[in-house]
Amino acid sequence: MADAAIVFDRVTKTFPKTAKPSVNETSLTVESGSFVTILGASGCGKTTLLKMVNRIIEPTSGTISLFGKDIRQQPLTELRRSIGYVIQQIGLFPHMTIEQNIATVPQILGWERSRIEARVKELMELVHLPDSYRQRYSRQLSGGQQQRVGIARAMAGDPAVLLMDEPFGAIDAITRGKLQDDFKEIQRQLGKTVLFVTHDVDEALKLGDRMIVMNEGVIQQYDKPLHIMDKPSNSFVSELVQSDDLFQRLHLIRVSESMVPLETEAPEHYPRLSADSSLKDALQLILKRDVPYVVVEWADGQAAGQITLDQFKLGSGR
Amino acid sequence: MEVLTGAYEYVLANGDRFWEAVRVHLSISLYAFSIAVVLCVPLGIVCAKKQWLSGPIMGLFNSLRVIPSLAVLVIILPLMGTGFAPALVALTLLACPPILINTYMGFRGIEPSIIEAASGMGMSGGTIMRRIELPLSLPLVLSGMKTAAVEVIASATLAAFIGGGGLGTFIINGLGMYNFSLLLVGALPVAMLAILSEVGFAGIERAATKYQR
Repeated sequence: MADAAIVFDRVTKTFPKTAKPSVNETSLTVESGSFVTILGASGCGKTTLLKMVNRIIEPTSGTISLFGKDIRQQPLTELRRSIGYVIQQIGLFPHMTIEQNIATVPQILGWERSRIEARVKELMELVHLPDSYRQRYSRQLSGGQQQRVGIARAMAGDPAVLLMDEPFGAIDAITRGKLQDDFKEIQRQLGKTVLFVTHDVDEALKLGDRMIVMNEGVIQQYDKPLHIMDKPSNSFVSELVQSDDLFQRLHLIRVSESMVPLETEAPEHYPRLSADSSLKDALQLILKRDVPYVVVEWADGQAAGQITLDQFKLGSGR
Repeated sequence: MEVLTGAYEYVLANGDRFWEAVRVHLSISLYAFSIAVVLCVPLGIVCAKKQWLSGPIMGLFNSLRVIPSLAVLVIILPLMGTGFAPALVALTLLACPPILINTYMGFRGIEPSIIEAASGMGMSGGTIMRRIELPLSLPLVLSGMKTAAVEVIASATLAAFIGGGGLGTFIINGLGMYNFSLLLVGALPVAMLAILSEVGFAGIERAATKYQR
């Protein structure tokens, strides 16, 4: 888990005819398998940062490496085939069926027909699209469904890294929530490394294992969402993430992020909850059942850790 | 009615001359059309990709468009004399603007996010051209070709004025001799050919845009 997937080393990007760099001397490490959200206002350099990874934008100086290898060392097209790319406008090919859209990268990679077919089927299931949609065109799908295809298409070649540029930004709130949940689940299942740009604070907090707050081309803070809310590194960050509604924030944080190791074997009757529940769920359980802590368990029933009231004190310590 | 039967009888009596005229008419149209396609489709693509080129080239061809067909033929006359070649040049010039402009519009009209997604997935420039840009711009390119084909077939009639031959010969002779049957021997087949090409291209266009329905 601790391998570095993406490493930025003093990366700067200055666009022609602008005085200020869009991204300034940025160094950062994204661990393999982690979901990192990049939060910032428009024009803060977050999209530039993202697009330098698959070289849609070339840095002015500095190096970026992917799994230890400088991204400039391999041919551009090869690099991009190894990285999934999802954009807000989705960019499905309107003259191709859903099936053909998803099969794009496998086809370029020269997979056999039967393998491509199996892969498409598998991906459609993964993103919860009915099999009957395979022969449809993107025009016949809703925005949310189209982005499901966009995600399936980006993952078709089984890339280790996914770059996502406000993928749910143009999708209505209800559909967006469902997409976020589904995608987070997919990411956890497959252990993909995700770099995810958004301007939506709640989305950044909810999805990210780690979160980057950017402003004026500089990373203001890079930490777990909970820590960023607890200890914002400066006034910019605190203004951005602060909320009067603590419960809403607790709802966004998963117990797996703030749990502490189990101290002793928990008694049988102590409530258990799954690792992807929110802190709000945990608090409700503790209050309702009147226990000192709840046990967090993985999907397979293995105990993962515990949440005590101390974990909430962190959250209210501001 | 008499005029029509007269025309029919003329074709029966002068089959050789008629079919020769049809052949010349079609071949001069086809040549002009093909040359225009080969020249203007790539040129339109280049214009769409290189914005600085599009201004002057589009301007030039748009201004060509307003010159009447007959005027083009007459302008060519002192430069190249009479015969098949100058008629071909004039018709090619006529066929160019619709093909060029529609190709340009077809490529410019592609959603930039589609291209970004394609290149972001690691498609090479050639693959994007072949699998994304050409198919997506095809409907507009085809409709430009349709306009060009109809225009060329109709204008090839005028080629007869500068000795290019074709069905226009009958029309000129018919007008000169005040013989309406003879005039129809030229006019009717030209109208039919123009309609046929229109319908043909419309069919291809429909097939190419199946995904839009």
